[in-house]
Order: sequence, then C-alpha cells, then structure tokens
Amino acid sequence: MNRELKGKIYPTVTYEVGREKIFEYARATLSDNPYCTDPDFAAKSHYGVVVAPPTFAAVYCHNAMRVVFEDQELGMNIPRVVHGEQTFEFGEVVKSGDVITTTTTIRDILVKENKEGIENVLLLVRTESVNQDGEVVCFGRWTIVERGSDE
Amino acid sequence: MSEPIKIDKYLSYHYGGASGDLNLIHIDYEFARTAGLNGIILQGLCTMGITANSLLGDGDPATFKSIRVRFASPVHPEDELTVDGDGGEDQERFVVRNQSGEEVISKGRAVYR
Repeated sequence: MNRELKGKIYPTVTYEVGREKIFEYARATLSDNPYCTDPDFAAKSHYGVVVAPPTFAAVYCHNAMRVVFEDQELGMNIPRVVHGEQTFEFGEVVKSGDVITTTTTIRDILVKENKEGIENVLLLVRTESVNQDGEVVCFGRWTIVERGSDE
Repeated sequence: MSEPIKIDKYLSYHYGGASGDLNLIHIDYEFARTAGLNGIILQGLCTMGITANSLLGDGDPATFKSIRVRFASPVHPEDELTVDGDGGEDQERFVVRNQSGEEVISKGRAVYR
C-alpha cells in the first residue's frame, strides 16, 4: 500500500436512500424495528416516513469506500484486507428519500506489528456524510487492515 | 445478555446484496481459503449492524448517538452470537461472543441520547 497518500481527499459520492433498500438492509441485519420496517407505524411516527437503522451508514458510505479500495494509486491488496475497527457518530436520522453526500479522507497509514511479529498495514479513513439540507448525518472512522504474511 | 442470534448460512449473501459488499472473502469459499481464512466470513459491518439493532430494539433510531466496535475475530456462517452489554442508560459497553465464547466484537461502546 502506498503510504504517501495520507491526507488524500476523494471526490464526493452521492447516495439516494430508497425505502425498499432500508427494508432490505433491516432484514439483512436482523432488525424488526418498527421505525425501519413498518410503513404504517413509520407514517404515524414523528418522522412520517420509514427511517434507516443507524448503521445504514455502511450502505450510503459503501460506494465512497469502494473508491478507496479500488484506488490504483493506493494499491491495496484486497484479498489480504479485513475490517479492524469502526466508529459511527450520528447526527440527523436518515429518512427514506434523503440524498446523502459523503466525503472520504485518508487520515493515516500505519505499519503495526502483530503478536506473531507480522507487519500489518492499517489504513485509517474518515467519512463525513451530509443530507440534502447540509445537515451532518454521520461521521465514520474506519480502520482497514491489510494483513501481512510471514512468507 | 441478548438471546442467541443465529447467523444464517446464507446471511453474507443477503448482506452483500443489501450493502453492496460482495468482496469474495464473504461469498466464495475457495477464494477465502486462498486468502488464508478458515472459509467465508461475514461482513464485519453486518455483525456491527446486527449488534446495533439488538441494542436499539424497538427504540427510535435517533437515540443512537454513536457506536464503536473492534472486529476481534471473524464470524462464520451458522455461528451463534450473543451481545453482552452492561445495560448502561446513557452509554453502554458491550462485547459480542460466538458459540465458543470467543469475542468477535470487543471494546464495543454505544452512546445514547
């Protein structure tokens, strides 16, 4: 991985939140929360529409993160990559129909030796996602690990 | 502690479709083996989502202010997970364990509004 890309900011990526995608995500993460899965309940709630589970951030950030994964200049070894840590800080709740724009920044790239003495590379990425009204919906801090090998 | 949460054999495919994360380590057994893994693994963000949804229950999603997790070890199809939180009201520390008692999420922390 090219460690000189610390500070790189990627072009923004926009995602439009569809209600059926929220339902699909809720099913895949075993949620039966009525705000996210029951259209009648959601319509009567203070939101008036179906809203996304908090970690739906993984979905509207996905294409933004994919740009990093596929960045030839960065050159990640994808089969060796695992997710190390993740933080999401939430602002406004994401509602169906929202348009979310995400800006992605490489915060740092570090080499860290694990317990077996193998050098892993840690990629620290920050995402900032705002809705169509310019309100922050989520800050994400992503720790992506490119596993070293002892060969 | 949550009721045991069974990870369906095909959940990584459903989550892959729902999220767009179709990295081959989540869907192709041979590829995952070649990559040095013990078979396909569930997307970490799927485990995180399941955990957050378990902590949230039927509550208003706005109650979640932040969540942090460390992916301590891989989750495999047909694992059975339990979310063990300290039950804090404003913030809660939690871990997620598999059927062997191994932590798959460690150092979990959720902050509520």
